[in-house]
This record gives sequence, C-alpha cells and structure tokens, in this order.
Amino acid sequence: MRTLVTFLLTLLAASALSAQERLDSAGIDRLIDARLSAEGVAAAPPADDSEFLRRLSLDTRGTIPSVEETIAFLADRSPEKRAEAIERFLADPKRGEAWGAYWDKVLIGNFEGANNQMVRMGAKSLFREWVAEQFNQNTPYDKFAEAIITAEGQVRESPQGLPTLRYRESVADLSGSMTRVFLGKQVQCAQCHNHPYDENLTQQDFWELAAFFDRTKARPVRDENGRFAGFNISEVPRGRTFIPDTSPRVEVQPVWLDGTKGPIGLAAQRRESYVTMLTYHDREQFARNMANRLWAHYFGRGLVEPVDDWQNPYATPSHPELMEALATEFLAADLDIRHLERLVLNTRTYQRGSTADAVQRARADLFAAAPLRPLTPDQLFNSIDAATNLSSLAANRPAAAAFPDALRLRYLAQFTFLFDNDEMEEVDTFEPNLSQALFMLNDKTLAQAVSNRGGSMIAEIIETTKDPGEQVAYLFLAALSRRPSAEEAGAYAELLRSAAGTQRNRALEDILWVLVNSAEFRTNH
Amino acid sequence: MGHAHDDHHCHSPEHDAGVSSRRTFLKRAIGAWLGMSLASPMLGLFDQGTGGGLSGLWTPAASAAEGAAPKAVRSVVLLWMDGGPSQLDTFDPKPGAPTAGQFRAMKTALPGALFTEHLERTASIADRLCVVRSMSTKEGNHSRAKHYLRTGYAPTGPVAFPGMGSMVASQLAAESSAKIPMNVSINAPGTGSGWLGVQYDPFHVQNAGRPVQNLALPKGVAEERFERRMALLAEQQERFAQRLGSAKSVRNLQEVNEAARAFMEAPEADAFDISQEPDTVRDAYGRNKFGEGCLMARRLVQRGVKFVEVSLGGWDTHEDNFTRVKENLGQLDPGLWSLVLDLETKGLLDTTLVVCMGEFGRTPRLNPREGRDHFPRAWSAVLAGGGVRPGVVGATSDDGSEVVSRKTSVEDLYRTIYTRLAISPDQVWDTPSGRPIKTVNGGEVIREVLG
Repeated sequence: MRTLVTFLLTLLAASALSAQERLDSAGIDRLIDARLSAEGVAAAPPADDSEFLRRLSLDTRGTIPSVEETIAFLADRSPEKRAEAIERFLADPKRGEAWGAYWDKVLIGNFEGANNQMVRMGAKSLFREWVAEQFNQNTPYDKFAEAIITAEGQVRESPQGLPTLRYRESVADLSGSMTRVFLGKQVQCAQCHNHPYDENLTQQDFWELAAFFDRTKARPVRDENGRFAGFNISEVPRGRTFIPDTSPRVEVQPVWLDGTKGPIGLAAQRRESYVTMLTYHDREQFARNMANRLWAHYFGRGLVEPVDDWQNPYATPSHPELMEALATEFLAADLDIRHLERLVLNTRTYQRGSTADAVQRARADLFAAAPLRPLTPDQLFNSIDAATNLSSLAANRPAAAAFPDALRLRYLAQFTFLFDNDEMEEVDTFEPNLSQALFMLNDKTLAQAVSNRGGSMIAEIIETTKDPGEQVAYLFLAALSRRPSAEEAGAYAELLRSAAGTQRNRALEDILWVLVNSAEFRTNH
Repeated sequence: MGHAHDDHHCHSPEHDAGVSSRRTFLKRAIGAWLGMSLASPMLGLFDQGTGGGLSGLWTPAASAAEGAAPKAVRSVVLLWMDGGPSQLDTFDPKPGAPTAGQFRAMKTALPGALFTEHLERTASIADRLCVVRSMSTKEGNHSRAKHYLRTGYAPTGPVAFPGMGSMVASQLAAESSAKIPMNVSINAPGTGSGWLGVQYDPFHVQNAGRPVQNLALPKGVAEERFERRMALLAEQQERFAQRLGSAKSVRNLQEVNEAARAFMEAPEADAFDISQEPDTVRDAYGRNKFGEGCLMARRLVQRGVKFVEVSLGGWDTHEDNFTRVKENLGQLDPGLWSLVLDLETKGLLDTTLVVCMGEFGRTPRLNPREGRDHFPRAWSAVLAGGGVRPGVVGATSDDGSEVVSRKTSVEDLYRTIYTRLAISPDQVWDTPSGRPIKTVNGGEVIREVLG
C-alpha cells in the first residue's frame, strides 16, 4: 500500500516539474551576479589554480591535495582541467568519507552519557563508513534519509541507527532533531510551550510530531556471557503518546506539522509514515533544505541562514529565486546529491578568489568572494597528515601494526575537542582559541611530525633535492598547495643557505612548522 | 514583568519536614551537629598565608573595603552541576514527603535550613551560603537549558551569546595584569565568548590534576628556536593577511598565538599547578577531578583570574538516582566545603562570588527506574561569598513540585550576579547579527541575596 501511495506522490511531484527549465552552473551565476550588481558590490577576481584546487579538495575530500596532485594540476594546460578535477574528486572515495564526517557532526556530534559506550565500541566510525558507502554509491537523498530515520536492528550491524540511539533517552529530542536536520525546522522549543516565533506551532503540534517516534526503542543487548554487546533498535507495535505534565492527560496521535494526519494509508510503522510525510508530502521543503545545506557546505553559509531554522524571522533567503531553482533542480534530478555538487562546483561563484575588501567580507550573504573558514577537525587532521606524513610516524613503530588508525582516532578526538564548532554556532571568521594555539605550537606529536625522521615529509624533501630553492618550493607545495612567491622563495632559500650541516635540516623543520601553523594552512579560503 | 513578592522569602523550610520522620531526623541531626565541630579544627588546614608557593604576587583588594560598603567582587567561581542535579537530594530535601527519596535530611549551620545528609561538610558551613530554592524556568531540554543558565539567554536563532565567564572576564579583566587566561573552564570546555571576542573564550583545563597541556615547549625545541619560529610565523601571517585584503581572521590567530606565548612565559602560570599544594589540602578538597578543579580555582582566583568554572557531570539521573547522586555528592561536598573555607581563610571570600547550579532540577516524582527526570519548574541554586547575604531565599511546596514563594527566573539570577559584580545589566551590545542585546534580558535583582 505504501508503495502505491509513494508512486502516486512521485507522479504528482514529477508533473509539477515537467514545465520547469533545468538549471545549470551559469544559471546559478546569473542569479548571484544579479544581486551583486543590484547591491553595487563587485565580485572578487577568480581564484588561481592553486587556490581552486586546494579549496575543491578540502570541500569535496576533506583534505588538501597531495604534492603530486598539485604539480600535475598546475602543469595541466587543458582548458577543461577544473571541470575534470571536479569530476575526479567527486568520484574519489574520500568524498564519501568527507560526507561521513559531515553527517556525523550534524546527526551525532559530541554527546555524553550511556551512548558513549557505543562510541567507544567504534559505532561512530561504523556510522561514518556507512555514510561514505551511501555517498560513494550515490544513494538518492530520500533513500539516505529513510535509512537513517527507520533504522532497525543492532546498531553495530546497521550503523545508520546511531542517530536514533543518540537520542534514545528522549523522544522529544529524537523527533526534534530529525525534523531540524531533514526539514530545517526547529520544533523543539514547542516541547514545553508554544513556539516563540511560529505562532502556528503549538505544544500539541510538537507532541503530535513526536508521536511518530514514540514507539521506537533502543534497548541494550547482551551476549551469551551476559555482557553488554550494544543496542538494538526496534519499533514496538503498540504505545500511546501523551503530552507530559498535562492533567488530565492529553493523548496525541501522529500528525504532520501542517495538520495532515499520519500514518498515510495502511503503513503501520510510524517512522515509515514520518518518512512518507517528510520525503513525499513535504518533498519540496525536504529538497530545499538539503540544497541549502549543500550550498552552506560549499560556501560557508546557506542561502537561508541558519540552515536549520527556516521559520526564524532572521532567516530570510538571501537569493529566494536561486533557492527555489536549486531545490527544483534537485527534485528534477531525483535527489541526486552528486549532480547538485557538480552544478555548484562548476560555477564562477564557487571558483572566486578569497581576496576581498571590507565590503565583500562584511556582506558574506552576497557570495562576492570566497569565504575564509577554519578547517574542521577532520580537514585539519587529514591536511596535517598530507603536509607532514604524520601517519608514517606510526608506520615506523614496529610495536603497533594497527597504530595508524589508533593515532588517527586519538588525534581526531583531540581535534574535535579543540577545534570543533557546534552546528548551531555562527562561524563567520576564524576565531581560534588559546587551547588550540597551545596545541598547534607545542604538541609533541605535531613537533615530531614536522621533524626530520624517517618517512617524514622533511626526509622526503631532503632525499628528493638538496637545492634550497627547490626545497622551499617542495615545502610550499606540500603544505600550502602553491608555489612560494618570489619574496617567500628568496627569504626562505636564504635561511636554508645560511644554515650549515644539520642546521639545514633544522631550518627546513622550522619552515614546515611555520607553514603548518600559518593562518593560510589552518583555513579553507 | 515583575514577580509577586511575598514577605516570607527567607522562610524556614523546617515546616516541610514531616512530623513522622522528625524524630529520626533530629536524632541523626544532633550527631551531625556534633560532627560539625569538625569544621573549626579543619580550618587550620587552609593557612592564611597564600600557601602553595603563591605568596606575594597577588594581594586581596583591601582598598575596596571603605566603611560599610561591600567590597568589590573581583572573581567568580561557577561550580557547574552538569545534567541538572536533584534539588530534593541536595539543597531542598523534603523529609516525610512521598517524594523525599532515600536520603535523610540534616540540619545545617543555617538555622532552619535542611540539606541532604550527604552534604554533611557543606551543611557545617551553610551559614556562609545563600540557597535560592525557588529557581523556576521553562527549558527542560539539556542543551537549551544549559544555554539559558550559562548565558542568561534562552537560545534564539542565529545569535551566539557570550557565556557568563566571558562576560565577567571582559568586564573585569582590566584590573588584572597577569598574562594568564582570565576565563578558565575546568573539566568541561565552557561556553564561548559570543560577540565579546576570542580573548574572552574560556581556557579549557581538561584535568586539574595534571600540568596544563602544551604549555611547555616540546622536546627538541629550545626557547631561542621557538622565538625564531614565531618571528618567521609573524612574517608569514602578514603576507597572507595582505593577500586576503582584510586581515581580521589572521590578526585573530596572531593575537591568540601571542597570548599563548605570554601564557607560556607568565610567572602566574604556576596557579595551574596544584601539585604545589600540601597533601592535607589536596586531601581536603578531594582527590578527584572536581575537588582538584576546586583547588585549582582557588589558586587561580588568588592570581587574579576573573572567572573559573569547575564542572561536575553525572547529574542526569534518569535511572538509579540515589546511587548516582550519592556518588556525585561525595565529590561536591568536600569540594564546595573546602573552596568556601579556604577562600574565607585567605581573606578572598568577600571578593569572590561562588555559584553552584546546574541547568535545571529533577522531578520530585520517581520514575519506574528509580530515576528522576528533568524538572525546570522548581529547583535550587546556591551562592556563597561575594558579599551575598547568607540564608534561604524562596521555597517550594511540601512535595517540591511548585515554587510557593519568591519565584526566581534566570534573568533575576543573572541581574543579581552582575549587579553584585558592578557589571551593568542594562548595557546594550551591538551584536554582529545587527540585533541590539542587553547584558541581561530583563529580570529583577533578588534583593534578599544582596542584603
């Protein structure tokens, strides 16, 4: 029955679209440029090849490009090389990993409590791997959301259940979070009182929405020895939902935000009904929300900002027409995320330089210049690894064959702790704190990473060339994905030349330390 | 909107004690009273000198004490009870009520006020505390309530509000010349600085029992080499700033790098080293993350740090409430007791405001898992030092389900705290979102607290 309903709804959605023109990258640029000229703000000049490649790699793959990739790209004379690099990176398995980090942050993030046990048991890594697989095989976005929302079974075997497990203690948080993430609507403040700026959203509405999730249970599972072995998620067939603290108790049934009653048809599973409401009944907002999230992922801010609070009176779209066009295109492409990424990445808007004047910087909502964004914990770890061969530190230790991953996890935990921003936070400028600064300046492992030991980047450079000018160029390509300017080349080569013997190696280490600590390295620009 | 004041704000909670349990309670309380005299000999623990190698660098502001005027408060210590502690099993017990739970109540040094039996030491210094039993809010969700209690503002859309620590540090930092962070958060990372700027972000100490991470140069990097690197880095940053056109972000990074260097070199950084304290003092505070955090807080306050948060988690007791609360009280009791007495002995209590609270309280009714759930409607916050008037403010009903007198909002509490610190609650800030925001969003001073 549900399949039939789904089919009919799909037909309806498709017919509404048939008259629409398809959107291309130039169309996006036209809409962005129209607003820029209306506001009298000039666009920044295009990014040069180095800046483009580094940004593209960080955004799509969560890491800076390798020295080899950078050299090959800079040497490539094909006029199509940017579009080709975009295709290459969108097909790179690292793209899936980068989206894994994204959905981990959005759906799970840092959390405490009983579920920590699951994190220790590697559930977070498993969840990320699952997301990576979905993105690498290009699962349509509605199927992706459905798998997460209706997850069943042992979380270690079906890691898409981790978001459900994360909110196992509160049905209010579970339904509120799913709705916030996948629909872009904050309903949770209506949990205890009517919504502050959406007068149509009452406490009753909130609990009617929560009723979709009220039969979902995450229960601990024990192995044959009675030891805790993870959690099992299932939806129980019965269960009534009441608004808390009401007297007499007020019972509610699952009802969508606009008052449409769920479940639709005969679907007995309440979460499946939720998915039907989300991905078919409210398909346009569902698509719009993801198109906006994707835009925010690549431009540092959404067309609607904040991305998860569309009813907020401050959240008027900066480019309403573009917002609609993106959503429509996303729908027309059957919610193919890679297709939308390709469109966005091939725009002139995405490929602008980051050199900006005060006006361009202040009006981030106009997308006149590339924004400056701090690297996320994952990007920072991956990029340090790429620039220093940090992982090779591990490889040199005979004792631990599995160390590379242990090191990665330990570092990521530390980085997440130190460098992460909550999704709810505004990040317009790069605002590092003291703990981060001390870490970058003095961390022991990081100090080893930039040192001249076997397998390190410094060792690799010394093996490759003894010429100071070439060594400086290599360092810059490795850390900043660009050639040094004439001034930089001169100053650092001079530093190397004036250092004799082992002092030369120490000077190389100093330069790499400086580059890795620089704002240029620590931001995406 | 004002609150309906009644005249019984400092009322005695003794009537709340059920008659049936009174006899047992008294029997026990007398024992506790006898035990309480342990407070005075224990006072000798905390020497009046600055102790732990901290002498001389900072002296309490005697100058502020002119006539009868209260001394200016120079620092705040927030003991953050993460997860929302049960008020019934801490500072607002309801002996005899069906909701009383497993713990007994005991008499305290504050006439008429009962605490739970597991706050025995704190009970002995209750005459230094101001217990607000009438906190009442509407946020029952952890993250929203935390935001509310830690910034004074309910979370609204895109505005990033500064935490209490950043606000206090930004307003009081000018009076300190120490090159160490003025806003320190021990155990948990603390709340960001919002529009106030990165220099007021909390500095996060993950474990007070260990040396501050990454404060020393790594092996193989001598000071001279570090200086050389920093000089090269400054030039590299400048080149990038010029390339970008606008340099604010790069400047931020350089500023914070410079602050890190100053911190590394500052003599006051020894305040972060609690190993300099005698064993007896360390034992008194408790050899656990919270106790060690409290001890570090005292050392930091001595060095002029403006805001220290010490957090203690584990209060989200949906299951097995009594075992878990008792465990937590085993850390809170010695930590809070030591901190207040130690500050007092060193002449710092009048100039240091201690606040102990979480994001909400817990349901009087027990759930089927022996747990108590979130309860923002009626709960307790405790203040000490900083010239607040000891006593009990407000009261809850016999079963703890309602505030019956002196209902107190988050805004009231913030207005009171900031007023005491001479931070204007009505200053209007231009925020990056374009929305002008006051330091405190309304509310009224709780006059009973300020005395």
